[in-house]
Amino acid sequence: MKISKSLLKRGLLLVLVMALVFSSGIVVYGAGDEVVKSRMRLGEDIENLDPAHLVRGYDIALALYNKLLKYKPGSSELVNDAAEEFNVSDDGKVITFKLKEGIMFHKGYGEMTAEDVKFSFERIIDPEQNSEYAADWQTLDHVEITGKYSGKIILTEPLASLLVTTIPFTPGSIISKKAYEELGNKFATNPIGSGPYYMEKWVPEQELILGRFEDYFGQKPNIEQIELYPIGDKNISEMNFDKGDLDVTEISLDSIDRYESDSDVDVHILSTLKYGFIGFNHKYAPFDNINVRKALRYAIDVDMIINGAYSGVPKRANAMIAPGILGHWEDAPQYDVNLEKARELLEKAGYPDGFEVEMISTSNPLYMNTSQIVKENLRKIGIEVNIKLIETSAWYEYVGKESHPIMFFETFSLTLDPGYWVEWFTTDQVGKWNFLKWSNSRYDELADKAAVTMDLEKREEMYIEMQKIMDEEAAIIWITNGAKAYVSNKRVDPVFLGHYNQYRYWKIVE
Amino acid sequence: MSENRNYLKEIINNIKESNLRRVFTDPLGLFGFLLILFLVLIAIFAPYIAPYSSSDIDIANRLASPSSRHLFGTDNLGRDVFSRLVFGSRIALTVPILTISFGIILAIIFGLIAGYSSERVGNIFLVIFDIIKSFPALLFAMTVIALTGSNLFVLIIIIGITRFPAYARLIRAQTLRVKGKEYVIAAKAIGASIFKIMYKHILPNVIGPIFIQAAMDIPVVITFVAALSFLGLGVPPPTPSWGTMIKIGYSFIRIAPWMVIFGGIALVWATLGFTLFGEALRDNLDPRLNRQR
Repeated sequence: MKISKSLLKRGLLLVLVMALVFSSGIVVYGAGDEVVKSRMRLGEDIENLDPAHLVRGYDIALALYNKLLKYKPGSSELVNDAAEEFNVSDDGKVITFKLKEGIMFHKGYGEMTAEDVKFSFERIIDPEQNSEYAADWQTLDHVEITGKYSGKIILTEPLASLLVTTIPFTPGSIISKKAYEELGNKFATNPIGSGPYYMEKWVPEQELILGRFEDYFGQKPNIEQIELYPIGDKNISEMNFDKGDLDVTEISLDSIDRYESDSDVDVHILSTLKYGFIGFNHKYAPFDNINVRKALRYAIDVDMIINGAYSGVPKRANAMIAPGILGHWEDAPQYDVNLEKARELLEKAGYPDGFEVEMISTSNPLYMNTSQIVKENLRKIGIEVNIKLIETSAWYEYVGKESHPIMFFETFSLTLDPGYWVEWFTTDQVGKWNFLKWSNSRYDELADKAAVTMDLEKREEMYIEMQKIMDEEAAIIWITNGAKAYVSNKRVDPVFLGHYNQYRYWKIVE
Repeated sequence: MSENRNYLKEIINNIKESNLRRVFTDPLGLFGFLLILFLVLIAIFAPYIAPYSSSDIDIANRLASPSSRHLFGTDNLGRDVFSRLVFGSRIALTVPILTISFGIILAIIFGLIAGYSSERVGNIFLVIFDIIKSFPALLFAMTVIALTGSNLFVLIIIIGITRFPAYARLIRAQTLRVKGKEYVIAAKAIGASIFKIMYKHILPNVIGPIFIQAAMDIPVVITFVAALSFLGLGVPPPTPSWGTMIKIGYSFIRIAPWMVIFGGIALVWATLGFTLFGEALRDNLDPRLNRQR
């Protein structure tokens, strides 16, 4: 019995590790002589806080670094951050900027100059850096210094996403050149920026403490210290929150009701930038038949999936791009369940008695639940769905690279730039991330064109047309853009950066 | 005279001499037996006992707390937890029994060969058994499932493979003991084929202790399958499996603890039953232990 106990324990641990989510928040404690502190949950411990390589802990990066531009909290409006002046030339190829004077770096690394900006941006396209963000700066040629505080960003081609997801986000973070040259690889865990907080202490897997940067050039936040605890499991962080050990945390969507009845707690429900969808491999029968796909669209109960697998919290999505993002298709048709029509379409497709099909799922409850609902839905029109469980990394091999006549549920995490949303269904991505193996030349053409179109209205039209193409071809079944929920004490007023699923804004009195 | 013992006969004799009664007069053994009997009855009569289907989804009624309508509440898709536990008992019982049967078949083949062949060949087999045995079972299972995907057949094969070396060693040891016996030599002398000798003369004399070992192993396999299901690598949904129910229930533990509580009770029920009964069997029937009496 010893063996089995340790097996279960190991299993539990693995699940704990797997259930990681980002989350954090802010609290103000006490007054007078006490240090004003906040305690938050950090879903997963950090690995690398260098903005050229940072792929988790985006919210920490927001506190550590400044960019030329930033988003206003809760909106998609851009305002100056480190930049005093910021202009884009008419052809979109030259960006001139002038830094504010007197922006200081943490820990005595001096004042921010155009030299630091040049270093920070050019470093990301340096092949030697092998940065995760190289594609975000793909058309950067070089940064020209024109004065101590001013410079020009020279591009080979205009890039529409530059002002959406590059300059105001992680790859636009400005680091201290001097510090990086001194610290080298150690910079990853000793980050030097100019943001409202500096990294005071990091004990791996225990805690990460951010201290308020007293020489911050903007208005100083009222919280002097932020303590972050890596807690993977939402159940555990909810317990910590209930005990008072945490002041803000992400919670599971099913806990919303319980916290909403508590008058000492604020519940924040945020829409996420994701899409969840049911996909099928278009290369194989029966999914190569448009009538089959249309039948599935009438048979799969999207509202049931949202209620059953998403706890009924997020809104239904009828097209790819979420509201608030350029290219959102407001008037996309909604296909409500109509079994009659579904059966007709199946008959038209030559499958009057339905067929049998494999649906691939990982052990993630969201995936398992969705698959089971789809199985129930499709049984009603004679389609027998066999759910095949597969381990996550094998899932990507199976669904992405290899080709099998299967259907599946999947979610993608996205950014504020619509180009990033549409990219995954282009022909180039077949064999990589285009799990549908769907291919449409008009769609590809529009994707390429929209990426370099600076006129927002024209760009929007193109993205909407792309979604219309997918709709006409019944290429995919959209479920939702998702939601996540946080709780905070009444004493706390966390500000979440609007519309970016993993980002939130530090409460800075502005 | 222990050299000439025939274990199967002794076990049968023990039973005949109503030593089996000792298993049932042993209060823990009886308790274990009753737990198992109850479970077996539930598994057999599941469709008559379960008030609902195990797979019908009723989203409007999800995470309902235990009530007269849903004795153990409902799960996150509105399915009746009691019904799913009842149907889940079938998986909980059949997987270990099939697995162990498969393991025993492998063990008989390789154990007999290892025991009956020359010492050198036997030693090679021993090394192979030990290699398989020392390989971490869960890791092995996870790797294979990652490659093949999970279904009942794969589960039975891989768990069977990880369990068989223990039985095979046991069979080999017993075979070594009997292969020099007069009746084996006599059979050889009259020209019986090697298969006939193994099947007719050796096997019946070595198989006894395996059953006791198998009874002791059932709870281990039950929890192993539950652990795999808990990792999401067990029986694919919507087939009700206790491990999967506990796993899914875990993410709702704060708002709907009944999934984990009742799933856990079912698991404890089965493992406790087989462990107690297996121990009672061993204590009262295993001739190897009789030596001390």
